[in-house]
Amino acid sequence: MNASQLLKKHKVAEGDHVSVTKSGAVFKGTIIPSSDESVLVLKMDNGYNVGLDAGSIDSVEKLSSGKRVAKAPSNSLQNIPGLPTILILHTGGTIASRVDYRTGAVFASFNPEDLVPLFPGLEAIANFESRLLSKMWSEDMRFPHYSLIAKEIGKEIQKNPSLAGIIIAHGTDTMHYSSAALAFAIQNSPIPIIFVGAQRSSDRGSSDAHTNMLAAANFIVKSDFSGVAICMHETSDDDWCAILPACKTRKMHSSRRDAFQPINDSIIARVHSKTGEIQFVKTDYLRKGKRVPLIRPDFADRVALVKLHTHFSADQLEPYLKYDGLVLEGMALGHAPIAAPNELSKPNLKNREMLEKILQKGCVVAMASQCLFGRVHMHVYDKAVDLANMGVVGCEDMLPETAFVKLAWLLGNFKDKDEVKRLIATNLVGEISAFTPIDSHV
Amino acid sequence: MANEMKPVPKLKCGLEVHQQLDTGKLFSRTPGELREEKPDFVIKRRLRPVASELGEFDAAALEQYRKGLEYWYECYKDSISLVETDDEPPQPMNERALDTILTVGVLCNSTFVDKAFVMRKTVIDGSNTSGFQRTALICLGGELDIGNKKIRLQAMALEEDAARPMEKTDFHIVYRLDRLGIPLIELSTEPDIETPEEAKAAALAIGTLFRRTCNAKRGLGTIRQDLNISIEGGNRIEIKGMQDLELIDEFVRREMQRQEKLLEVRDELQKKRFEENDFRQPVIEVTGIFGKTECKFLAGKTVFGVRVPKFKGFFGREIQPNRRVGTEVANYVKTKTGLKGILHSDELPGYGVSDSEVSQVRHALSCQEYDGFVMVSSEKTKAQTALAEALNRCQQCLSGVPPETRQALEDGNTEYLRPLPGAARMYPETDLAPIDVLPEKLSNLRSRLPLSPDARVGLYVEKGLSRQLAEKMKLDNWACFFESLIEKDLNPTFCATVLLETWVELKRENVYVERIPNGKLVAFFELEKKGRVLRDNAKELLKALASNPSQSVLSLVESHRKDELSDEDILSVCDDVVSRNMVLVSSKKFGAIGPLMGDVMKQLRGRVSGERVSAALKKAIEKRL
Repeated sequence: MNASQLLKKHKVAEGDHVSVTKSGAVFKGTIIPSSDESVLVLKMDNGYNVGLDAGSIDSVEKLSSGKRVAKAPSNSLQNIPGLPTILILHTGGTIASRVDYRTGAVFASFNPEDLVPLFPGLEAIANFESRLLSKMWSEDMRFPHYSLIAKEIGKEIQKNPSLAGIIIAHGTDTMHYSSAALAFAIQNSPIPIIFVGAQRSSDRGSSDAHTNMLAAANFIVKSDFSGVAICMHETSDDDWCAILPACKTRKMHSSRRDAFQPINDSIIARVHSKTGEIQFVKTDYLRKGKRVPLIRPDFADRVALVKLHTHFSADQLEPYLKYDGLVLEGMALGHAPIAAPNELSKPNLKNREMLEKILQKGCVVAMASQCLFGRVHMHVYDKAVDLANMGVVGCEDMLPETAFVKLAWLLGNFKDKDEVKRLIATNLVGEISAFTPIDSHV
Repeated sequence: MANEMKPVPKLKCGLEVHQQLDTGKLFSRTPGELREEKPDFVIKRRLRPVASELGEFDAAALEQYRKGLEYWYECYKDSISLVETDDEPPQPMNERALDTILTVGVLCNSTFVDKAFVMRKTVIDGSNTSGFQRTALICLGGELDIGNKKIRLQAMALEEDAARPMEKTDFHIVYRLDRLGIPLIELSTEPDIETPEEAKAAALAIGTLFRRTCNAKRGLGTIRQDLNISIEGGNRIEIKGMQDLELIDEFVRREMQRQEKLLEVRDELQKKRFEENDFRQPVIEVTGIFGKTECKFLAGKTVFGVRVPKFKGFFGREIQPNRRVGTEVANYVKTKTGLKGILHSDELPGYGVSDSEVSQVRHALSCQEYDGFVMVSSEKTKAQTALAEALNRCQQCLSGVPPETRQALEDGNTEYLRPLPGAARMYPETDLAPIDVLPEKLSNLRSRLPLSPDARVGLYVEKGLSRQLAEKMKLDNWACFFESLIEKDLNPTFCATVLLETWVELKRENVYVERIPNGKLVAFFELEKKGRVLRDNAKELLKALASNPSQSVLSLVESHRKDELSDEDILSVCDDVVSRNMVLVSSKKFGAIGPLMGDVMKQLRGRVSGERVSAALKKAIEKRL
């Protein structure tokens, strides 16, 4: 007998409060949805969930019918006169995690009006407007989402000139892609646009969502910074949060709170989550000011990022014959397996042929380093020189992910391919540094 | 008095026992050992109050958060992982810990869930880095023989232990993460315990049950018993923090006494006809009265008092040895407001407060003849809160025993700790899949249940172990391993001595013997059986093995054998000893071997076996006869 037959037989349903007998023991609780048909799942009166094999249950007695739990009333936000206003644009992610009782998994869902009251302390920093843009995990992001966010921000800045800044609540997995994309799509912004995420889900007391939000709000209100940046923990401690450069930051750990690290760059500033104190590390940043931002929200569709590796086969590149842009994540200084110094490495010549074909079709091919730290140099070794001669453009010390969204953005906004090739290797919004500082490694 | 005629009050008592398991952490593959060295680093965190599903915050948690309370977590680089620091999702549940609780459940004939869900139980005191404790209900019901009767079990859960509190100040609490995540079996009984003696017997039986599995941790703080007690007419009281199993019956006895006395107080108070507003009294400043007082608590301080109607004589009522209603009130005020030391009318005049000062206070507070009063010295706001709490506790006396959680004190008494916990806020641990408790797994465990302590002693003695060592081994965590050794026909006395004595000596000398895997120990015992290990060398060998646990036991043993003496060398030492003891040898002949062994061994210990010495001595004596 499966669970639904059992429920039918005993005339009970999900949500009912029941008493279930199995081998002499009595389990009292509420029937909750089960992802396994053979198992009846109870939320017991003592709070535990238990699963009981439907076939092993001796009896089910209904104690009371299920009541629909009333949804929490939405807290209407009381604006405090005199405080600046911050807009929170919501895209889902851990910062908005909720539990799905059916599958037991965390999923992203948020009524944006409920957001602020969940972060005690936020209300004293600013008045908030909060809106949901699109509900999703960040790994589901696509280029049209970047366009959507950019256009939305453009509209808001135009509509509300007194807006102090914008917080984009974002899942962390691809936050560094989005921050880079937005840095290109919205240039010369008059106000700060800060990405905030959480590495630990916000259902738990230890979630970093709260400190990151407080720090971001404080930074928006109290500093003169303008433009796109990321605000996350600087260390595993809940005290200082780092304001990180939009194009030179990467998620470097799968779970730690301080996963986001600047690469080939330093943090912009740090903000104390409790006191709101701000310490600037950089001085060369865009300041707030009255001006009209330059919004170019388009991204070309057919652009890819490919990681090169040993034993690479030409057919792995074949699909990109149809692409407009391709970023290669090459070895070290910008190398690719395209030569055959001996018999065993002969298949590499096919790689070279394929790459030439792709370039001939007009695809812009750029090279970034899979070392992440450091710079590609297309003129040191023969092979890189070879690649450069073929038309592959080196991306200096730009992160592969940044190069990828930048290339898509360039191809979406500039018709002339030569111009795109020139711009991909030119610093536009801080994605390429003029020189590599001595302390730029880890 | 009629007191002596009164029947013993009917007791309802249940136990809740937490036992740490010696299996490594529950959701992280780090060792579950407590450490005393200086921590390598500290992580500083705060806990945000989490709204319930209905959007409500826990008031206490919110208050602590607003105060900016920080939690500092002490870590070690080589034994604390990102799971403990809440920087990584949990690893799957420890299989051995799960097997252990399932074994206990089988031994008690409990009913298992078919799918166990790990839950997150919200914890707000910072003792869990995540803000919740992971716990899974494994079984319900079952029973346990405690000697003269059987008591029913309510449930058993497998959960994580909390971090270890090290230091507390107004702005931070320091926890050490070594304890966080050690598996705990939480076993709760039905309230079937009816006498103090049964409570003690039940606690002992539960401890023995856990130790039977060979996976229970030993030592101070590894098992914690909480009591739930009420007598007829009283109320449920939870007593936490009993350190000493030996005192459990005394705690029960004293709680019964406390409830009984409080019920007497209630009965007498109820005859007094209280008005609705009697416990809403104004707090009045009486500082002026104590301008020249000799009471050192009050001299030079601001003093406030409150009238407690019809309470004269009740503050002084003894409810536990050396503990009065007044003590309860004082303790309640201290816990709720942090204010130490109230003065109540039944202890005054006293503490330097004079007769005339008491009369003046009574007058200032408008006390009638049968009224009592309470005084505190503090600033006004705090005094008002404190005296309101005092009145509140006095009012509770009208309904008898207030249900609450109480802290065990060293002398067998208890004091107020906090209100009884409300329903735990639990939701599923979404980072872990539910765990199947399969019938095959249970029947497998059923087929290899750990022996009972009595059966163990019988088996060990039968195999040739002394009764003394057998008694020592029966509840030791080595017991199950030891049984696998005697099944292999290895030398029981040698094995038991090494495990129970040499091992402990080495640990005491800070040798990290836990690093030696059981497989290496088996190899070691097998070599001993083959006569390749000198008993006197055992400690030395284990020490060497602990320093490099991956080395081959055989080559280690062989390298130590190189130091062994040749037959000629032994004989020459024996010749020497025999020649110096010719009187003895002449009279006792071969009977002198025993007495002379000691002399020879003194010189050769650790380099030769007793058997070879005995043979050489025999030869030496033969030569002289």
